[in-house]
Amino acid sequence: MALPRHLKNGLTPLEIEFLAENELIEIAASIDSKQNLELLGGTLPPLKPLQMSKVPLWMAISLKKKQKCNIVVPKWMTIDSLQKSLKDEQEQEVFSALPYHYMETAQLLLENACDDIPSADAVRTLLKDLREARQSKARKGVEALGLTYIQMDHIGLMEINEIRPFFTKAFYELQKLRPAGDANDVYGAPEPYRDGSASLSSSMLDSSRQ
Amino acid sequence: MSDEDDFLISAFSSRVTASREPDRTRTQLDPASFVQHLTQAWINERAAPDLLPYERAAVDGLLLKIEEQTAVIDELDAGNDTSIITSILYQTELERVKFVLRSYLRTRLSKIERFCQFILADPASKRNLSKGELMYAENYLKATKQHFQSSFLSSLPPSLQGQEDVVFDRKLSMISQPSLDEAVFCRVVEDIGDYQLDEEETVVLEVGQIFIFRYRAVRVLLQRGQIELI
Repeated sequence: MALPRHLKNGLTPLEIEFLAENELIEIAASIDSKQNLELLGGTLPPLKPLQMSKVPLWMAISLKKKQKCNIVVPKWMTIDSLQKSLKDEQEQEVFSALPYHYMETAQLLLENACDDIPSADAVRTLLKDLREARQSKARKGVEALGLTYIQMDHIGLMEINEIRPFFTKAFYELQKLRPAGDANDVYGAPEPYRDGSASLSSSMLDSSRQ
Repeated sequence: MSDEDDFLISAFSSRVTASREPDRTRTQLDPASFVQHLTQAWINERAAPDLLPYERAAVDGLLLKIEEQTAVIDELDAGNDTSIITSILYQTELERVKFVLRSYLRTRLSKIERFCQFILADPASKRNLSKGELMYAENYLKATKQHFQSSFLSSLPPSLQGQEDVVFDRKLSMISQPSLDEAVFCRVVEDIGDYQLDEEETVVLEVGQIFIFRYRAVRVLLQRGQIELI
């Protein structure tokens, strides 16, 4: 098989972590790279000791593992900011404005750069509370499943992945029950394929004409 | 596994020079954005029920850049500490990019296998194939048909040997088709304003919003690059 079965329903948590590692983060390097870093994804200015640089998270973690840098905790991940987000989360109907990859970033930082995070344990607890508050909010979305669309601004990618299997399936099944005019077109063939049993041969003709 | 992957990449790269025709779908891409562009294309491809247009410019461009970068890394391997670290960082990134590229191509192949006959018969889908993919699809279809025929269909009565039968005016067909009514999560990447979802419903789309839609309703926005799937 070209793609294993478990990869067919959206992205896996590991792949989402992989994507989060592309996000930029600030580090204080302790090495001098002497030259620009010419990466495939773009050029980074040289790393200089004791100077702040913005690098992708994967690079920060790789340098951190070799003890060549300290990672600066992003603003939203400080105790004050997390407390405020938690308060918002509990008071508002909508999701509070955390970064798209907040869960994965926090997880990766706590795992790999624990010593750079002031009061890491408190941060961990706050993140857990936040996660629970948001999870119950995401599940409330079930009430909206029968509609034509559902809006979920500021939901994190990892959070989407948690509700994806159930939501997409349920949304799809409920759409089928809607007595809309196009409801008879269950198989959803694109236009040239839709009408008549002869369309297979006729569309083959089309392609030869082009 | 990884041998097979390398084969995949080398099979595609050997065709790089052959496919010089201009890219229909997009205007010129900035080489620095190839990685980002392809990463999003990979996510879109994973989330969309049907086969999306092949990202020829980004794939070909990246294959060339990968080659160049590999040469750069080979030259870096001197004795000093800094170049060792630089080399490790370059190699890590190179592997990350290759991973995305492989997963992108494999995702497409899995869709091609699944909807093979449909894609080959539908001109709009067929246009989305790369040259290599087209060859693959045609061979795959031939091989499976032959296999079914020789392994069991030939022992059935001729009236039951069809592999493309259709009943109820195409409602039930033996040919698998992508279902465009599936739900997809998407993020709006540019302000669109009022957008008509179906006969009754409109919605205002602004940058950064996240929605669940029926794929059919927003397919055209994806083609225009105004939304991305997630």
